[in-house]
Amino acid sequence: MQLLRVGFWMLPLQRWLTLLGAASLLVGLVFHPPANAPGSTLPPTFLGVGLMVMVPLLAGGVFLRMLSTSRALLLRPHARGRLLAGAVGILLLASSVWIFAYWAAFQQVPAKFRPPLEEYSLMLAMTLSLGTLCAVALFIASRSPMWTLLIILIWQAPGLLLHALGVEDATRLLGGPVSLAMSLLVWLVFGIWYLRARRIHASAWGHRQDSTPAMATTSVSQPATREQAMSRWLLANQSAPQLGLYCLLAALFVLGFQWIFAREVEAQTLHAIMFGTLAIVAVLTGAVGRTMAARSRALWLPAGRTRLQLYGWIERQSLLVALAIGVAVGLAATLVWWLGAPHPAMPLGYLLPALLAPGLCSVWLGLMQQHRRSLLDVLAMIAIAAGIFYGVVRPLFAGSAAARWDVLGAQLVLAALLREMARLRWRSADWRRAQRV
Amino acid sequence: MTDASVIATRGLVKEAGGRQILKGVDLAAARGEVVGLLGKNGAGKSTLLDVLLGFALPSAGDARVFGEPSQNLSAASKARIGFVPQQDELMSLMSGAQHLALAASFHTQWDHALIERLAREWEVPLNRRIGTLSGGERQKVATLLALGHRPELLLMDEPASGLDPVARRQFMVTLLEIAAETNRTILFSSHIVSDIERVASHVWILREGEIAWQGELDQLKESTVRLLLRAEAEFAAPLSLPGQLHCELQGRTASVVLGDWSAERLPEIERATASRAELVPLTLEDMFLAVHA
Repeated sequence: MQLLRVGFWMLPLQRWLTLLGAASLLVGLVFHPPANAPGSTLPPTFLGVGLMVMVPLLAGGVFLRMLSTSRALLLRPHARGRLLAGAVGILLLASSVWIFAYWAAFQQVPAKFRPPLEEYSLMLAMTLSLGTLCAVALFIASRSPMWTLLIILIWQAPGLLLHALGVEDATRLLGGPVSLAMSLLVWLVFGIWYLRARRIHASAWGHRQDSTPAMATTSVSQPATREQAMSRWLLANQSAPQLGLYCLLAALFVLGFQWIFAREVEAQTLHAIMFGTLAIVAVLTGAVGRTMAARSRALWLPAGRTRLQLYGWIERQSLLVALAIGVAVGLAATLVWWLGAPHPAMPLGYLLPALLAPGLCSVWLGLMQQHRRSLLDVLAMIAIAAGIFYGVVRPLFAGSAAARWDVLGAQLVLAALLREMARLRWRSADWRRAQRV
Repeated sequence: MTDASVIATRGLVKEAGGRQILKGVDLAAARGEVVGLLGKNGAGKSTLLDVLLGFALPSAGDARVFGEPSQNLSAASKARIGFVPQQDELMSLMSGAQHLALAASFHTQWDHALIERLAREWEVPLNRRIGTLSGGERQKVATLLALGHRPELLLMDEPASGLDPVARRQFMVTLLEIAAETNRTILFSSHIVSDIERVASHVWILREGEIAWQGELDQLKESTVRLLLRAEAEFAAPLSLPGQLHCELQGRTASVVLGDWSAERLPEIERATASRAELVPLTLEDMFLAVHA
């Protein structure tokens, strides 16, 4: 029960994903379509299980570091051993759930469509190795930004090495028994270190030691106006162009990696990956909106505005940041377009707004996070993800030249709805507790 | 509620999560009062402060600050308020000095000299990023942010809970200095009853969302006493005296805490209980415990 709770029910996001996943799984398994339409039962099943196992499978390492630094937990007997066993247990559980759902989904289709038994064992081995890789990598990466960078480099190294050695089909080579053996070896080495380490350090993200000399309060530059001060408060002393520049650099960094390591794949696949990545960079505006909503309580008194006036001002600030991020995404997209040969079949005139529309929706979804979250927020999140998939990734992957104006239009309607919802929530905003920002 | 009230609530109700946190609270604080807000965990202290500041909207009833509804305070009224939250809202990546520079820009008047002096006296490391400060140091920075514009109304939610005894004593001395300034009203909640006893002129005691007692601290002390009753024979049944807050029986001795006390009641009580009564002075902590017994 403890494993189930930590794996699927510990955080609010996990609970939502588990519930949504279970609902989708139920639709896939119980209300499955007739046997003569075998493909149609699988998407909801896999979507459901994917949502359920996403957190335990991919974020277990972060949880492990978090729990390993909890003093209250470490006071329990054999705490480290139990935590390690729990981490492995959750990984096994999540992998088993995944394989079981895969098996169950195919029981509803005619026998000729069912995969052979060895495919299940191969899939189990690959799921376990992916989970192991993610757990250990995220455990290390969650230590500090420097370790994260190191992990990204290490992650890419084997692919680069195999590519240099001329091994074309690395996935098949590393799959099956090899990956299973490597996973066991990784857990063994990691486990020995984990149990013997004198101290597991807490995550140092955002806790850097300041080395500036002592300064008097008057020696710090003071914003000229109240609006400037409010803006600097919301953006933690940053500016919209600075944030846009960070996004541009981050996008170019990731795109560079993708271009180096995936340039051998089909052009359509590479286009889908790179433009999909840019759409995800664009939705960082959601994090900006959410952070601004969280910081707004502290502005209630000094801003001297009503709730709606404050919302209007914060909305303008978040749109300014969204514009900066949009410019960064647009520049990166144009660069990818011109450098990529052959160019995507889809016109750039459609691709640019299609990349930015999810970001626009995300601004208001972020601003909606005003201490009241509901199923609506999760549905909006799914709709934004669907917009990226159907409006950008899928057409590019299929090499389609037809612009999906219908998807773009739907996203603009969604953006307008989310804006109204955000205004509605702010009208009766109840900042009952400060949020850590 | 009078026109001179800085804070006034009438029938204030706040519901959240399907539960009533404040249940028809009537309160008033005038200019110059230093009010200590006492209550157990979950009694509704932070919620009351949130409603007074306009962070939370009342579910029913009325909450007014400077005569205006708290949820629609004007800019001028907001500028007269300072607030120290229980959980600070500081940003980890910014230093204390950067926070103070921003806060100074929010207000037309900012007392740099006062802040410099307090930061020196309280030994606040303003050059370090907030993320590297201890809980107590963060609390000191949050308090400096609330004091810089010399607010007429200062609301503080557990302002000294994270401070060590030395820092707490310094903080309380400063609070007394601030309170001594004319027309300054202070409302602060605390679990540390001795702090309230040292500083407050008035006390509000919240019990499960309702006001159990409100008024001047001296009046509370005068009107609430403990009587040690010694009888010839054992007390047969629990006592039930008018204004009784708490009673403990031990054979022929009874310890009774009484509200609404006046010295004239002593002979009457001795007669009614067939015992000799001895008056024992009560601390605020004793009274708080008696109210919650």
